[in-house]
Amino acid sequence: MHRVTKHFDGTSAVADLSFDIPDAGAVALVGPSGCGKTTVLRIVAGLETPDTGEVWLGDDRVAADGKLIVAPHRRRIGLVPQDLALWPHMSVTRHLEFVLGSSRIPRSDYRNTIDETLRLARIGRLAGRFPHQLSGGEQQRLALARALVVAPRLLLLDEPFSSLDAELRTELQQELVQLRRRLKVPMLAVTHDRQEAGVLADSIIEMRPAPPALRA
Amino acid sequence: MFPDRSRTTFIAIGLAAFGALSVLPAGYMLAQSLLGPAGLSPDAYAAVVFDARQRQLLANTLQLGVGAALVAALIGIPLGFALARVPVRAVRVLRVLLAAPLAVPPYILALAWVYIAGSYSLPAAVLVLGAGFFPLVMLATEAAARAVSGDLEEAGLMVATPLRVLRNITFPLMWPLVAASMLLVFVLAISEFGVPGLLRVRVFTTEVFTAFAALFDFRQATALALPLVVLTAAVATAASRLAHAGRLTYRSGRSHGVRLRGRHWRIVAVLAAFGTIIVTVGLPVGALAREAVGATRGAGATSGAGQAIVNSVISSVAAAGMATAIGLAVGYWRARLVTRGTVAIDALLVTLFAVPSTVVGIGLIALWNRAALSAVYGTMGMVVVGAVARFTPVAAVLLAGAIRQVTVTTEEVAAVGGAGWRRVLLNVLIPQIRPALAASGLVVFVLAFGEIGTTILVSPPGESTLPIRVYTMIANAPASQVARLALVQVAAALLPLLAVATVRSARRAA
Repeated sequence: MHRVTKHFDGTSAVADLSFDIPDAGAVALVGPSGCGKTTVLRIVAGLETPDTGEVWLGDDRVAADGKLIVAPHRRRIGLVPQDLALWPHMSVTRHLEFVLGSSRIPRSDYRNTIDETLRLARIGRLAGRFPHQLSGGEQQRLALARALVVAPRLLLLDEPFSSLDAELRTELQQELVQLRRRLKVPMLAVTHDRQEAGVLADSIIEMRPAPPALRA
Repeated sequence: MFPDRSRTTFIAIGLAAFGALSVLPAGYMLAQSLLGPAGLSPDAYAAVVFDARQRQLLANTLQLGVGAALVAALIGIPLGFALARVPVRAVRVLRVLLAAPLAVPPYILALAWVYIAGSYSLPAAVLVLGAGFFPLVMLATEAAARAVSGDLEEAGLMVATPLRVLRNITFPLMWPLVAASMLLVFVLAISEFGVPGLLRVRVFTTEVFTAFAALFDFRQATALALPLVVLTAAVATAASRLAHAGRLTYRSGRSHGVRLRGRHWRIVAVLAAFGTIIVTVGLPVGALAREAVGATRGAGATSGAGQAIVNSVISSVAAAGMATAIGLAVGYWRARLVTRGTVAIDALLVTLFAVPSTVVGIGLIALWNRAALSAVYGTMGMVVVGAVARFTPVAAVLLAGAIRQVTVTTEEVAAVGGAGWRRVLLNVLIPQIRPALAASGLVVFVLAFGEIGTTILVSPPGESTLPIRVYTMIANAPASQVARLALVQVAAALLPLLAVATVRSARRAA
């Protein structure tokens, strides 16, 4: 991300931000509510476009100066949003099938890919269930499996464990670290919890709310 | 929910009034047709079920309902989706204009289309009812499209094209509410009396009316009512189940989901909206105006029409007030105190609204034509009773929805602070649901002003309302005079809506 700015209705959300995520590295954006962390994540995902500046994914320039160059679904990014956004009408398996439907993976390989991903996420026995039939931790694992099933170029996490109790949060943080290292997927995580950032990421970027002058 | 004796009394009075006025007439007809001396006889039901003429009646009724629902869906689904997802500036104005056909009594639309096309047939009735009820599907589609969480769509957009996201995520989530609205159009179409009556289509509602009012055959009328009430109840239950499917969530403030932003989408949406407004409102009103131009000033149509208009206004205002008051109690009960059987209660409310007007009318006559009730029966009070019987369920549904949006804690805090139920109701709850109360009153007024099937049966001899005047004049007065009164009817239906839309728009601008 290079010199990115973003305004909403005249208010600055991101001001001249630049950073890199190394191959297989993990970066955490930390800061108080309203400092623009989630906006940065959405710009990387392609759900918002930067007003100025550039976003690169590997060697591809995916957005620049108000233009969306590569659509979100062509970036091969895995996203775990804060509310997980699980599709209530789809079973666990169907979630992954839907994601694979846009990939280049042959349909004959779906079964193996899904089984392997569910096994990694430790929800293999829940394949036929729907989101409302899963516990909070299982829902979190499904959201992660959905993000990882197509071997993404980058994994984005928005306050991934904020809704879980302390014990489950610690357990899932450890699992995520191990999983990411094993799969060698670079990651950008957003959190307001410094301790969580320390566990998940190799480096931390601290964000502050834009100064009043930029909010006019 | 905290216990309170005054609140219990308020709800009990409301439920008793609702039971007596809305539930009893339909229940009486059902019971009579099954158990009463004039009802259940194997011969009467054998005639209904096995007679070829009756089978044709059933086929016509089903074709009318299914056809109207499909036409309404064909127009309403794309428009509703466009209102929700195409960023058009004047979306509120478009919504009000597109919803206008709902306010116009369907038989007036049928009359206008007779002037335009001169067709008396089942397909014509299907088209008129589909074009009259499409706003229900449109508004439901818009609400569903707005309620599908943008987060869910964005999670899909990360891996799939917008079209795949719409097909696999958005539409499946919207579908239960949209299907429920189509089922509602189906039940409203099969319960409609004015349009098939005017367009000479033989369906159950017209046959019930003929059996009772022309042939004086109560037994035949009740026997004919049964399949209609059962079909209405079954479809209303299905609609209620679908509406409770509960897959919709509110959009979060940040996420956009799939929006059709391109300029070409805006042009297509605006053209489609204006085309629909012209066809469904502009052409019918224009046709009535063209016919009305030939009316002789001060003759025929207008003599006596003044009293009919006054009767309509007074009875509709009274019905709106009573239905809203009773609907508040019933809606409060439904929203706050019912924890089990919500699907069944909502289905009952929809069924009661959709019970054919002629069936309600006969039920009211059977129940109210007694010496003890002569102070009301045989007066214009019966017209009010008829409208309250038919439209209180609508008020109850609207107000239950509004009350559910108000957190119960606001009432509990007031009660803990020492306020009695009356103060809680007047100072805490009602101020928070004032727009819904106004909407309920307005909707009941518009519906009561256009009511014909029940009114034509219960109105006293020598008295008339505007719809009855128009309906009875159609057969024996010049088209120009009928059209003038029909235009008055349209104006009475549309002006309050336009006034409210203008006031709201001005307030928003301020």
